[in-house]
Amino acid sequence: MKKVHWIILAVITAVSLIAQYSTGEHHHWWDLIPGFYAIYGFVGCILIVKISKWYGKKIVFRGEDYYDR
Amino acid sequence: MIAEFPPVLIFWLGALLLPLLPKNIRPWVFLAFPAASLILVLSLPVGTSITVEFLRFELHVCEVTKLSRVFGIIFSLIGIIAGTYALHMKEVGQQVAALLYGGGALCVTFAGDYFTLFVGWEVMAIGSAYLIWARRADDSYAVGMRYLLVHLFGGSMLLAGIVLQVYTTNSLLLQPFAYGESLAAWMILCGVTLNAALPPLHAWLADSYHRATVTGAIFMSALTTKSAVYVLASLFAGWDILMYMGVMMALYGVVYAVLANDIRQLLAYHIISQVGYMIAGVGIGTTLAINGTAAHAFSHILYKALLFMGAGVVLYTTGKSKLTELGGLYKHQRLVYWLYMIGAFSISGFPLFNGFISKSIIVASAGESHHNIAMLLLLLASIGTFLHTGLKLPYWTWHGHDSGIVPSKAPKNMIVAMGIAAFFCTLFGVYPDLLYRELPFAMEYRPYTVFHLVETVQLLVFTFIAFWLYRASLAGEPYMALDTDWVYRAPKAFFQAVFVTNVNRFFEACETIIFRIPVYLAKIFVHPLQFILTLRMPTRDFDPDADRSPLGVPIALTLAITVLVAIWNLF
Repeated sequence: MKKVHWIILAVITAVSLIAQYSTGEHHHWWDLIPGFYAIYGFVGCILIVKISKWYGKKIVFRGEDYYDR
Repeated sequence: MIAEFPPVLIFWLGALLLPLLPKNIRPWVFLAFPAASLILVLSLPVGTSITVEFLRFELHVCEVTKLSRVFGIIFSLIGIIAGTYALHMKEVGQQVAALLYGGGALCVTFAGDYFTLFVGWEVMAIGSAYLIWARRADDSYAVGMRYLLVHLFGGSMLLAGIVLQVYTTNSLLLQPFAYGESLAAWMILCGVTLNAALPPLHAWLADSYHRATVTGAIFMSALTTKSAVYVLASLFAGWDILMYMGVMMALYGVVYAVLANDIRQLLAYHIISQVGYMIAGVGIGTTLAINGTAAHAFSHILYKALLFMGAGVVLYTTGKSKLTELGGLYKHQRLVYWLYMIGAFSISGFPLFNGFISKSIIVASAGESHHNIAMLLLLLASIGTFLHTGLKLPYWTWHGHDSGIVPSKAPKNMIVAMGIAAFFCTLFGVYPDLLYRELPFAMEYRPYTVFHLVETVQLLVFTFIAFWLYRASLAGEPYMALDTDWVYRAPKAFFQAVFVTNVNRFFEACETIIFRIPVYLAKIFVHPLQFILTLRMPTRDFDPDADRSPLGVPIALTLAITVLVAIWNLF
């Protein structure tokens, strides 16, 4: 990731926030939170990684030859 | 107007004809059958009903509804794409199996009665099992057997339900069930959801798809689960439990995709996740949700085939499919990478690709029906989809650390097939109405609204940022994650002992006894008289001169009795 890529992402995010504010459209209470979906995407992604990895390491990971032994 | 007959017959006719043709033209002729089927499906008007008399039943072998038509179109179309991908493959067994399998899916799709449905169902199981065996790896036989046994188990549940249904209603016709209507409905549901890979009945999919042949996996990714989704949509729409199960399924696939190391297994877990959306749509059951299910099945088949084709090219050209063994292939496979990425953008729901216009219908229908938690969880699952299929898999396969592998050149037809799939993924993303007008119900839904774009862009951008921060922990790990197939795989030794080893021992023991009896009798009959008199084993052979009693005694006895009887009669 070069600097220019981060700048592009920042611009896209800014545009989306402005668009969210300007449409004012909402179907659920959470639609009124500015950048809700950005927060949800970021936190959701980390949660998926953390919870899945925990589940794998603590409960279900076995050696690749588990059934062949 | 083309003659009206069931599209399945074209596929099955192909399966009969193909082995008779010369090897070199077979792959090309293969394409003719799904192409002819596509033309037939497009030309059959909605409402067409073809019936056949069979025994005392009237079978509805081809019922064209708006719903079955959508599935019929995509099953035929994917046959052409997968056939193109397999043009370099000359093995007649796989070609015939693929045609039987595709035909089975069409048979199920257009079935109007349970008998036709069941025939298609079982043919699919057999055709697809062959596509696993044909890999001919060390474990292919065992994997194929597991796959087949699980499907025969599901088929038996389905059959038991059908028998009960026909017995109680005296009708073979497929009719939608009301929620929890009867035991038969539940049994049919279990049989169908096994094929739809609904956890906990899903493990066969993640166990087998990544072990199928490179070309066979494309058919498998498209047909089995989606034909089951069709049956669910036509029989079980509005069953609440399916919404909860579907949402759970969408997340289940995501969690296991984090843990998967094999790229095709990762994609297989994402089939489970994506089918979760469709089943949730069936459970919500509104016209918008059923439209969403049909649209998403259509889109999913295209992009999932594209993703599997990309992973298949990697396997074909490197002989490897594990993230821990791959990396740095981008400089050798730029075109494959970008075609794969179109599939990844599609499944992740990027605007301008077909996942965006179909997944969102289901999510919107959940919101519209006030299932807010379901809606948020489905969005969470779509974060996971982008994370794995769009970021983790391509990053650690084509970028990441350089594995030093130099892939061989992929056959051109594989790339062309990916190009066709990528074209359709983009076409339907740009012109959603092409798909929307084929959907079962009229709807107002529009995907390209500012609100929906804002939502999608924010989700995707921040999923990407989170991935970038955590990318190191998403590298493949050389482990296998236990899944529900543990239930029937782990006790293998126990079952083998109880049902095979001990049973064999019992029969061996019986056999030994049975063989010993004549030997024993033979020994006795060398001198039975001695045995009777002494109750011991004879010590020598019977000798007539020594052992036969003198004749005088019996003659004298006979005479005496004759005389006595004669005297008795005198008086």
